[in-house]
Amino acid sequence: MWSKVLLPRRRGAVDAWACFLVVTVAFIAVTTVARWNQNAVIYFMVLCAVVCFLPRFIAFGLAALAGPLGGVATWPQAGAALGLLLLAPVIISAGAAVCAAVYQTWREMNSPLERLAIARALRPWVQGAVMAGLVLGGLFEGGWFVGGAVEVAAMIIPLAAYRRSHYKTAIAAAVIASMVTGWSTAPLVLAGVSLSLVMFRVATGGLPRQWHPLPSPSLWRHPGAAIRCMRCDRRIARSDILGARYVLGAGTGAWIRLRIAFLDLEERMYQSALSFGQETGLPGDIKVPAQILRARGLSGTAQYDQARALYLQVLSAVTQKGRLYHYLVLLLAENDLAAGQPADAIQAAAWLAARPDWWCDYFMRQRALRVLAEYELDQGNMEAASQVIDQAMEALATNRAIIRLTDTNSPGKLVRNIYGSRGSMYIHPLRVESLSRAAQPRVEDQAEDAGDRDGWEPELVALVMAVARSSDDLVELYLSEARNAVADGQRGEALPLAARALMELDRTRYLLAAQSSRTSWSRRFQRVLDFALATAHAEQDHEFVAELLEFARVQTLPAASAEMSEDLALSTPPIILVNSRARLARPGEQNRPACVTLEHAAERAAGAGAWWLSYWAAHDWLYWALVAPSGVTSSGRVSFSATSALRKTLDELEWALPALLPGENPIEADFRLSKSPLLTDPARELVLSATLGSLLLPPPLIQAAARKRARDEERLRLAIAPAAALGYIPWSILVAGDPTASDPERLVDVCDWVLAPSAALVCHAAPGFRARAPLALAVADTTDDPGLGELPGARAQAAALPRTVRVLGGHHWSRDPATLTRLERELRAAGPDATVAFMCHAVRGTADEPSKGGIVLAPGGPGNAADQYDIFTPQAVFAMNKRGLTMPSQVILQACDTSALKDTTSGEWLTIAPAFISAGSREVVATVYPLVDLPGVDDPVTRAALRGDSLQAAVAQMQREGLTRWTSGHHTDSAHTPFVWGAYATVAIQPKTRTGASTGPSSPLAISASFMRVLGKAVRTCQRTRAKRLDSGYILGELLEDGSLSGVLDGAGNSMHPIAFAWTLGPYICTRYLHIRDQDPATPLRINGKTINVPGTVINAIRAGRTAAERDGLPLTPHHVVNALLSEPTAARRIVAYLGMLTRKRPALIHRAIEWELTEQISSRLTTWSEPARPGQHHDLVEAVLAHAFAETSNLNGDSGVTEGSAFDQPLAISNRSSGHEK
Amino acid sequence: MCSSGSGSASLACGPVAGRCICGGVISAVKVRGDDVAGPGPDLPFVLSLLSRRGTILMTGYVRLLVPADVGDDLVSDGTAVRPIGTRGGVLTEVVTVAVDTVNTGAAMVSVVTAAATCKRLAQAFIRRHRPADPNEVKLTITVGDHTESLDVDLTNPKAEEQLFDFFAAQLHVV
Repeated sequence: MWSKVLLPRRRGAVDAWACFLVVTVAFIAVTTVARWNQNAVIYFMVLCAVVCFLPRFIAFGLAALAGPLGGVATWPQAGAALGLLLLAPVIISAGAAVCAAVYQTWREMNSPLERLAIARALRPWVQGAVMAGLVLGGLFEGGWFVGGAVEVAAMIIPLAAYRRSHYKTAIAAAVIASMVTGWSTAPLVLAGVSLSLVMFRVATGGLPRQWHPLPSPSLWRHPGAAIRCMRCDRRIARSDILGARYVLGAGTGAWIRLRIAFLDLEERMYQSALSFGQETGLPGDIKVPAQILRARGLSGTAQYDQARALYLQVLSAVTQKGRLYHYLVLLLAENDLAAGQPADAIQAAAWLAARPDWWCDYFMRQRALRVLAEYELDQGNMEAASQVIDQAMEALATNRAIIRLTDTNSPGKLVRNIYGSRGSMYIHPLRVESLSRAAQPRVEDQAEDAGDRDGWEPELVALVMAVARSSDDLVELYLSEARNAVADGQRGEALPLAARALMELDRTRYLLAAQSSRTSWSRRFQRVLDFALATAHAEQDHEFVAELLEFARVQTLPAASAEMSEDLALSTPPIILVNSRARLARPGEQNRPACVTLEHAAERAAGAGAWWLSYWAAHDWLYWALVAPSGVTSSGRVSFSATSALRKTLDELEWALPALLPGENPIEADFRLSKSPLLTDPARELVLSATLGSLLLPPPLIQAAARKRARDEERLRLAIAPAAALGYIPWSILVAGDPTASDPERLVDVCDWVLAPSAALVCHAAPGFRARAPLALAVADTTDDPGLGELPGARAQAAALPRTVRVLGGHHWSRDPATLTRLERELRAAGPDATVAFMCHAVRGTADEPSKGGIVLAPGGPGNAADQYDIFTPQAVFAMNKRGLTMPSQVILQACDTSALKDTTSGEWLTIAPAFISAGSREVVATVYPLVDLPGVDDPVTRAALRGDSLQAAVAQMQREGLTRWTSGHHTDSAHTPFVWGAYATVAIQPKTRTGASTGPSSPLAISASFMRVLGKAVRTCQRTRAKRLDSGYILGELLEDGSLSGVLDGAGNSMHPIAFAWTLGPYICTRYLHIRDQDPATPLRINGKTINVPGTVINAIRAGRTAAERDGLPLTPHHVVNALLSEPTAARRIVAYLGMLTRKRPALIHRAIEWELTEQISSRLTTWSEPARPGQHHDLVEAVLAHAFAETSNLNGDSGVTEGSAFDQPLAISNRSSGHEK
Repeated sequence: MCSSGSGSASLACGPVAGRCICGGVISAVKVRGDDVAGPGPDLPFVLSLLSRRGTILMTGYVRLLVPADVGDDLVSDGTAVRPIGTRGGVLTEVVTVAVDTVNTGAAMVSVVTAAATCKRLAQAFIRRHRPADPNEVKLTITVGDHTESLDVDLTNPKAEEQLFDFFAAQLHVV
């Protein structure tokens, strides 16, 4: 075929003439330049005409050799003619054929992506041809020997830049090369080619603008705000979120706050939008955008129904079908898809995606296509998903600037780009790429070609998403990668990814003020949590399981402020450690309280030597984790599917309890309860309790309890942190011994157990000192509201109390009504060393807002209407506490289900009982299911309350006595049955001791291996300098180098940019040669004849880093130190600012990248440093620096981190060993 | 012998299956177990009518406040159970069945609204009649603000039947 193409029988006239003219001109040019015989031209033209017009007669070209014989040409001239006659027509024909084929293919390509593929395939060839031509030209121009070689050598750098498509660099280098070689032509041609390419790029490289619904204020009425908004909007249009924030500053006007809320939403922070949307008195043109932002906030926090209603409300007010209309349709589609209502979502997204280009916004089309793709992925339709993703790619490629991003096939370049002034625009191709990758593995599996993941660098993509704060994309990415890892049998790699996803989700959780928002947000956790728990369980990573269980239970610490008065905002929780380690310790929270350990939490809740037993129901499993005082952890899981034994047993238990079943009538419940095994049938109760005990009590716990009793003749102390699914469990009666025995031991026989609120709350509550706390106040039967009814039993209880006890009641029977105001006054009068009993109704909150429930009090409003009541909620407890009222030491909540654990499906147990603990109470007797209204007061709990003794012990005594009576058949009254006394559970916290001994964890100095490595390198670097000064720039440089962040920022190895090594070499150059140094004087430290000068700034940063690391529950890392350096006016900060300016990267993004890297390391568990067998060359200096930094610290060594015998044991010894510190 | 009290006008005189509700017979309404009678042709209308009354008619259960000895009688053979009052506030409508002549204290019991229950109620009221009590008594049933009363001679051989009809009508049981 090729012979016909290259040597056809006849050429077309155009081809033949073109070939003839080109070859002839070439020959004339060569002849002229070489000053050969001009007469040979005529002879050559004749032969050329034959060869070009009659290709089969190519052999006539040999006749050129006859020229020298005839005297019309020289031999070199004949050789050149022969070469041209034989090769040129063939080359030209081949080139023409290739061009024709390419042109034909190009015409057949319909999509930009296919054309892009062709361009990508041809580019190396074209570039190669151009480069070869230029090299030949250079050789020709400079001569075939030294001159040509010099010219070609001068072109090496510009050619390499041209080859890597760094055309600006190529221009500059080529001009310089031309100048060096006496303004030679070939480099200038290269500069011209590169310049034309640059101009083409500039002309076609405009990035699309992002539309937003934010109105601007009137320039005439609010000129300042208008200008600021205008500048902000320009940055928003190009997705420069940080730039937009910088412009807005700390403005407070409505338009400014609207934009701040918008920017927060772009970075997945929802609270400001939720709050702003509820504001009244907003200017008219802001109301609609504010509602849109609020709806976005609601949707972002998984409150889909409310969001949908709000979107529809706004949509109904939009009359013109312009951008705003499309925007709302898109938001509605995204909300519907997230809400699991794909039908509407698909319809709306398909409608948007089908709009013509000029009609639909570029980014809206992208988002619509992503909705479609995500739907197909959710449905498992990989082929359809791939088609939609291809469509999205093509839509992306309609913008040439985006094409150039995607065709690099290097996420590293995207990473570098996202740091630039173009903001987070580059996240869009990555989103599509992520979706593509999500669809790809499964397609690959089908094709049995699972290894093709070239060019995909999830770490870099994650970095991009992290610095852009695109948390939902990041979570999906991590989850997708984790699932792939599990599919590949690499569960160990999946765990850090799942941990990272959870940390990313956790970032938002505590920013939400309303409990309902947090509850719905917790649903977004569930998917990742299920996966993480299953993987950790499979990996037998018991510590991680325990950490996950506690992480699932929201670490509740009430905050002072809230979105609205009835909201229950949370403050930033502490980090929870298990065995002194954490994998979910998201760093960087400035307001985070000190970290806590589960071992310490158990001790605080249940006393010295207590164990911590936690549960969480995820998917079809109930996970448990048991943490011993020593930190040794075990974990496991029990099937919790609909047909599981546990589920059936829990159903049986609920059937036996005085709580209404779903759809049950109260009177129907009367008939059910008349047959309750807990009320009437000890034998059936034993079976039920034995089954529950075998399913819920871990064998290691039973064994430990047995060992404890055998060794110390004491019961094991136990803190139980139950899941919502176990909210009704009467823990005391669970069989904890041999279930086949006739009277087996129960949990209350072998353990002194308490219910434990979150570890954070337990460890940060501030109970009073232990003192006798006699019953001083009783609140009984506070309402006769028809919906609740009177409580004659409670009234009888109150009447039987001694006169020393103040009794508050309801308006219907008491002259001392228990109103909120009155209660607060009486609580103040009773003081903290008292017991208060609530013998009244309690109402539960909702599943969304469990903290809305509480104790029913008499109405305190005007008129005191008898058919109304107030609720003493957790918020009221916190409000009183904030007003300086410390809650009484002991509280008895003899009301229905005052634990309300059943409602805490979100994990946030901050109902009335934990609220009392948080507000200063020491022991709270709560109930785990509805309590029967009985009149008796002659029970151990009431007796202990009157004496002021511990309620926890009294409850246990009552339950043990009741159990004896019950199992022996001596129960004569319902009060003697577990139906009543089994409901009680104590929530407690150990009191402070008068001696002031600390019960908190010690504060050891733990240092990460990475910190020692970075500091060691920095010391080594500074030792090479004359000043021997450890400036902060060296530490910064080594950190960036150590974690390869500098490489990512520079694109080293993938970049020919002039400033490609700015972040790799920049800090060193800036510090050493440009003298950007810390301003304060340095302290010289001498050891073993070596000296190092350490600026005070660095010492302070190491100390501040340690404080931050302790707060994060981590060993000291270089990231903490560098963050401390960057937060102060140090040399490191100035260097980051200068380099940022040079490379057009915002310093805030460098902060985020450092934080991201640390988070990555945490999720994989940080390695703690230990003394090496062979210390490095400057190890003594490193120790000296640390000893100097921590000289004032009393407890420098801990159980982890520094081994015995190191310098940290005796920090001052270093100065003794050395010649001492010199000022 | 049957008289309507306050508020009866809106409830008592709907034509159901050709008869007045206060007449004591309507189409069947659900009851428990063997006492269930098949729904009559006008049941949807009946249910829609009765549902306006409140909970008891639709659920098949009712709490009765009856004389204490009647309550004990019903509980003793399992016709009724004593309700368990909790401090959680789940209340339902209570039907008070009072006798105007003797005050022996009242007890709350939960019963199924079935024919057998009405029969046992009637028997209990006749059984509790002591020689010292007057033969003719006035029974009053109060549901919310609606009251119905029945004058009956407890020594009359048809008293049980009269009482049954009365209870069945008021509890809407066939």
